[in-house]
Amino acid sequence: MIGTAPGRRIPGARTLGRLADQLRQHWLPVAVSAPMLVVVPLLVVFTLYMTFVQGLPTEPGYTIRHWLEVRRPYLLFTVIPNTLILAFGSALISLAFGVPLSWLINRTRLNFRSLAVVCIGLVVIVPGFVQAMAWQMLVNPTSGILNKSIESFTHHTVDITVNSLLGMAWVLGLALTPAVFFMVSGAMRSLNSELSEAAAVARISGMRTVLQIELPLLWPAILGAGLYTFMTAIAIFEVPAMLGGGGGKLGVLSTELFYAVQPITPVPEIDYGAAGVYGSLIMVPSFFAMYFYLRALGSFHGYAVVTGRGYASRPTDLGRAKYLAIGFLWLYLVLALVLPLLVLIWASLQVNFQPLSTETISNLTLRNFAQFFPAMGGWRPLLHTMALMATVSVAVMLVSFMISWLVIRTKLRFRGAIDVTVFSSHAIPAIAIGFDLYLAALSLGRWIPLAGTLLVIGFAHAIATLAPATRITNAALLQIHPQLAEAAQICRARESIAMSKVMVPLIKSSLLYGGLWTALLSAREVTMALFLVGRDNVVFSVGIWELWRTGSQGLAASAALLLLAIIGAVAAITMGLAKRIGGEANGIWI
Amino acid sequence: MLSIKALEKSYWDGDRPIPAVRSVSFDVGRGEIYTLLGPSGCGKTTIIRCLAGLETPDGGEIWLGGRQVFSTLADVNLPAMDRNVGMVFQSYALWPHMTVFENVAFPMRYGPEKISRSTVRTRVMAALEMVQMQEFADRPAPMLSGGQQQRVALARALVYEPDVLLLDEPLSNLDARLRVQTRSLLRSLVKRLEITTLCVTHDQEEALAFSDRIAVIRNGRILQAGPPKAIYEKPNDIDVANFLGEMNFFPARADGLDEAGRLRLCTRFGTILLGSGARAPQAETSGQVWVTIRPHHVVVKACAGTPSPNCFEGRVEAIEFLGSRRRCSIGIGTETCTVELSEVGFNEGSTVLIEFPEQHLGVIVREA
Repeated sequence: MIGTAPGRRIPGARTLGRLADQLRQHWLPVAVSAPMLVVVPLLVVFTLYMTFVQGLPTEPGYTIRHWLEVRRPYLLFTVIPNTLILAFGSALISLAFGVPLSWLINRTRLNFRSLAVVCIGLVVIVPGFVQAMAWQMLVNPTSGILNKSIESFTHHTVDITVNSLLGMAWVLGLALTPAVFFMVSGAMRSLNSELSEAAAVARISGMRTVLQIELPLLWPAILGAGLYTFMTAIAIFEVPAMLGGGGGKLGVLSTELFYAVQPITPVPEIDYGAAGVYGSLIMVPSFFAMYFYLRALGSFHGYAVVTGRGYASRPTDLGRAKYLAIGFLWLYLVLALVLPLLVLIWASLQVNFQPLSTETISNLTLRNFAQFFPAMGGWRPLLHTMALMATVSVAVMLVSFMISWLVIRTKLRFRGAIDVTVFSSHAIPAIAIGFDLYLAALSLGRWIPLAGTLLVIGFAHAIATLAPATRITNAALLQIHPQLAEAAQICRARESIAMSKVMVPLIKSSLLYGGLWTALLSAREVTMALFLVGRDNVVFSVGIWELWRTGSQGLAASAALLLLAIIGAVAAITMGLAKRIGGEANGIWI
Repeated sequence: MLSIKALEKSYWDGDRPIPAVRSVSFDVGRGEIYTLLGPSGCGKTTIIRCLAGLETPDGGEIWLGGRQVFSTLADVNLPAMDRNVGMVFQSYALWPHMTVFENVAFPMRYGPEKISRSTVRTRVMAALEMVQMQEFADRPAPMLSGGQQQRVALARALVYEPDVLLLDEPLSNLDARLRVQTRSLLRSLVKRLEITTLCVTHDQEEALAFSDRIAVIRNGRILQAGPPKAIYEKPNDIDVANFLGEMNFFPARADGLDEAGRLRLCTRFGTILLGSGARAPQAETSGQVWVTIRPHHVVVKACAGTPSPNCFEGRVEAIEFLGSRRRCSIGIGTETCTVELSEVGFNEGSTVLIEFPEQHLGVIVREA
C-alpha cells in the first residue's frame, strides 16, 4: 500500500470536519499508533538537530562546525569510502548467493528444496555479531582455524584475514543472503513458466531464456533486495565493530558514531555533534535507497503478465548440472551455517582458544557452560532478553496491526502518509536510534528516569522492528477480503469488535509469525542495547559482546550457543503453533 | 422509506476526479423492491455502498426509514453501524472462523442493544428457519455450498430487523439453475417480511424477475426508471433498450400524423403507422427517430394476400437453432430484422410477411 495518495483536494473547513469525524470514528487505532507516528519523524529531526548544537544539547547557540568536520581527510578519504565499500561489497556478495539460491529452490526440480529453505531460515537466527565472532576465529593469520588447517597441509603461511573491508563484507554478505533469498523468492514463484516456455518453443536456449526473459522480469525484485541489503549494510555496526580491530582501524560511519559518543579511552568530552553528522550521513543515503526500493516495488507491480492469467509454474530440469547446483547450495550452507556453528562449539569447549590439533582435543571441557552466567553477573541478562522478546513482540504486533488497519482498512485521509512514515523508520539506522534514545533518556532524566532501564531498550527495539512488522500485518490484512470487515460494520459492531472478533482471528497466524520475527530481532540485537545499557539493564547479547571484548572467547562462544538454542526453540515452538492454528484461514477466504 | 437526493461521488486518480455517481435521486417505498441495473463500473455498487455508510459521498442527501443519515448541507454522516441497514455482500462475507450460528448471532451479540442469551438463540434459530438453514447452525461457515452461504448471509442481514435490506449482486456467485430458485425464494421472503429492499445487479433477467421497479444506470446516471415491463418494452434510450436484451432498431423519420391520428414513421422499407394509444403522449411527431421492437414481438406470416398496415415482405437470410426457440434474420429492403420464434414453417431463402404489432413498437429520438 505504499504510495496510496490520500485525497488531494485542498483542505477546507468541511474537509477538516470530515477528518475530525474520521479520527473520532477510528479513535482506537489512531490513539494506539499515534506515539510511534510521532516518534519516527522526531528521531530524524532530532538527529539532524544534533548536528547544529554546540557541545551538549543543553548549551545555547547553533553551529555548522560539525558539518565542516566532514571535510576532514580521515572522514572523506577513509571512513566514507570504507562505508561504501562495505555496503556495496556485502550487497553484491549477498546477491551473488541469494539470487541463484532462490532460483534453484523455486524454479528447478532440485530435491529436498523445503529442507534447504529451513536451513537458509536457520542462518537468520544467527546474530550478525555471532557470525563475526565465528569468522574471527575461523580466519585470521595468528590463530584462525582455517589458516592453520591450510598451513598444516601446504606448509606455507596463510595471511588471509577477516579483519579487512573485504572480510567484513564477506561475513555481512553471508549473513544478509537469507534476506535476499526470501525477498526474491516471492517474485521467483509468481513468475509464469509460460513466459519461459514461449521462449523455448521459439527455439531459444535455456541459458539465454534465463538471461533474456526471466532476469529482466525479476529485475525489480532483485534490485529491491539489493537496495535493502545496501541500506542494512551501510548502517550496520556490530560486524565492523567486531572485525574492524576495535580501535577503529577500519572505521566506518557507524563505528565512528559509536566511538564519538562512547570513546574507548575515557575522554571527558562526548562529541554529540559529530555523532549527529555521522548519523545523518548514514541516514541520507538510506532514504535515497528507500526511495528507489519503493520505486522498484512499484514497477514490479507493473509487470501484470508475471502473475497473469493461465498461471503455471513448471520447474526447470537441471539435468547433469544438478550436482553443480547441490554443490552450490551446500557451499553456502557450510559457509554461513555449518562452519560458524562448528567453530562456536569448538571454542565453547576450550578454556583458551586453540586451533585444531590432537593435543587440544584431549583438553576439551564443558567448564565454559557453567561459568558464563557468573561471568555475566548472573541470570539477569538472560531474563532481561526473554522479557524483551515477549513484551516487544506483543507490543509491536499490537501497534503494527492498528497501523495496518488504518492504512488498509479505513479511508482515513492521511493513511498513505502514515504508511510511508512507518516504512521510512527502516531508513533510520539502529545506531542512530540508539544514539537518539540515549540522548533523549539523558535529557529527560530529570523528569522520567528512563536512562539505564529495560524500557528504553524495549522502546528502541520497538522502533527498529516496526517497519518489518507493519509489512507483515499490511500483507495479512490485504489478504483478507475487505467485505469481511465491512460486514461487521454493517452488523452494527464497533471498530474494536470488528478488529478483535473478526480480523484478529483471521490473521492470527500472520500475527504469530510477525511476533516471532520481532522477538528474534529483539533477542539478536546488540547495537542499540550497547548504547542504552547501564548497570541494571544488561541484556544477553550485550553480555556476550562484553565477554568477547574482554577476551573470554570460550565463555562468549558458549553463551552465544545458548542464545542460538533459545532463539531456535522459540522459533520452532511458534512455527509449530502457527501451523496448527493457521489452517482454517487458508483456502477461498484469503 | 429510503430516499436519495442528488447523490454525488467521485474517485480520485491522482489529481483527476473520476465521477462514479452523478446527481442520482430516487425514492423507494415501504416494502418495495428497487433494483439498480447497469454494467460493471456504472456506479451502482458505489450508490449502495454510500447508502450503507461504507463510502462517504461528495454531495447529496440520504434518508433511511425517516432518518437523515447523510447530508452535506446539514453536515450529517452517520457511520455504518448506526444506520440500521442489513446487507448481503457479493462475496457473502461470512466469517470463516465462526459457525453458521455465530455468524447470524454476531449482529445481536455485538450490536448496540443488550439482548439476553436466550433471546439471541431464539431469534437466530428463527432467522435460520426462515432461510431453511436451521439444521446447519453448528456447521463452520466455510463448509457450506454457495447457495447455503447466500442464505446464511441473508439470515444475518435480516436477524436484527433492519429498516432497509441492501443486496449487492446477491445471485451472481450462484450457478444458473440455483440462481432462478434462490431468486424466487428471496423475492417471496422479502415480500412476506415487507422489508424495503435495494438490489444491485448487472443481470437484466434477474432485475426483471426480481424487482418492483428498476433504474437503469450508466456512467453514474439513472437513464430510465420504472416498472420492469414498461422499461423492457418501451425504453426511452438506446442504451437502456440494448442493455435489457436484444432489440431491433430501424432508423426512421417521423412525418406527422395521418387522418386517423396515427403517427407516420417513414423507414427505408416502408411506412409504419403508430396509433395514439400505442405511443407515449410526449413522443415527437417529427424529426429523426429509431423505431424499436423486441425480436420475439415480431410476427411472421406465410406470404399470402395483400399486406395489411405495418406488414412487410421479407426474405429469410438465416435461421439459428437455440434450443427452445429459433432466431431468424429476415431482410426487409436494405434492413435486417431479427425475429425469435418457437417454431418456424419456412426455410432459409423463403419469402415471408413480417408484421410489427402496434402495441409493441417503440420510438426513440435519434440524435443527430
